[in-house]
Amino acid sequence: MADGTANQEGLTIPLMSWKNNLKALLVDPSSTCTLIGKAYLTNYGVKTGAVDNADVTITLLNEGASFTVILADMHMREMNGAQHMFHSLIFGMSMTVCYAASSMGVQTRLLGMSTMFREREKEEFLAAGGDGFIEKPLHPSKFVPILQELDNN
Amino acid sequence: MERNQMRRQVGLMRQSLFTQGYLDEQFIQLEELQDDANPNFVEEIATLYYLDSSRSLQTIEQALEKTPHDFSKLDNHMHQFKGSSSSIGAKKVKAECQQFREFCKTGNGDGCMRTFQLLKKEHATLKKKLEAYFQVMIDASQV
Repeated sequence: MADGTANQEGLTIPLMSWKNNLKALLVDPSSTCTLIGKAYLTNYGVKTGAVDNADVTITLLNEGASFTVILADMHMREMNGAQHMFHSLIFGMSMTVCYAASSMGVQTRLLGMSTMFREREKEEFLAAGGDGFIEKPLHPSKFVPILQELDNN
Repeated sequence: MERNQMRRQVGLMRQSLFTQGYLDEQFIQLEELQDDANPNFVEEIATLYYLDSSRSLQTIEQALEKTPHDFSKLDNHMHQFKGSSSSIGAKKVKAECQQFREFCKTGNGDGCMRTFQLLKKEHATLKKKLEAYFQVMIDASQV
């Protein structure tokens, strides 16, 4: 909910300020979802990037990019549509995140996004290394409490 | 005079999209993200959605033509499509997505195909209504 005020650069003044420099990465093949998510998070003062697949995420992390939180759609598939692909992709992501975290002392949360969660899907995600979940579509009521928790750690 | 009439028309069109169940509160969230820095946000999102979703529908259509049906794959495609549809508040489209997923769960291929036809219809209807709505908004802003 932007207040509509623009600053001198024509950018919206953030609705919230944080103790830390919060950075988020959205990983979602739906550009509609990422555009909305990015607009929301940016409005709330979170520097936000978006990519459409997990491989690119792993590359970014390996190249030293760091994020406070990574929000990944739980239903991504590989280009060839391979089943259960998300499991190895998320596992790959979470391993890279852990490595980045331990080498740079950065805490990164990996959250799974979905419009509806099935228990088995949640278990698989956590087993693959995910940290938690956030319901789609993204809304401040959902992401603000999570960001506050991360900001306080 | 004409300006007020046009503004009223915009308001009525918008209201009917909600009362007739085409859109839900999520659309209001999008409207709230629109501001001076992003003055055409809602229309941009809607345009992007229709580009994205047309491709998704083609993928699902092709998958439905393959028998035996791979319900897990169909469910996955639909889950993503439901995600983008939810994000713009496409209420009726979302409901058909949900129905489709129920049929996937029970392995009901006929149900999936019937629901898919309904889904395409709702998708197309909403597109027309949104286009008309945005056009009236543009017209009203130019008076």
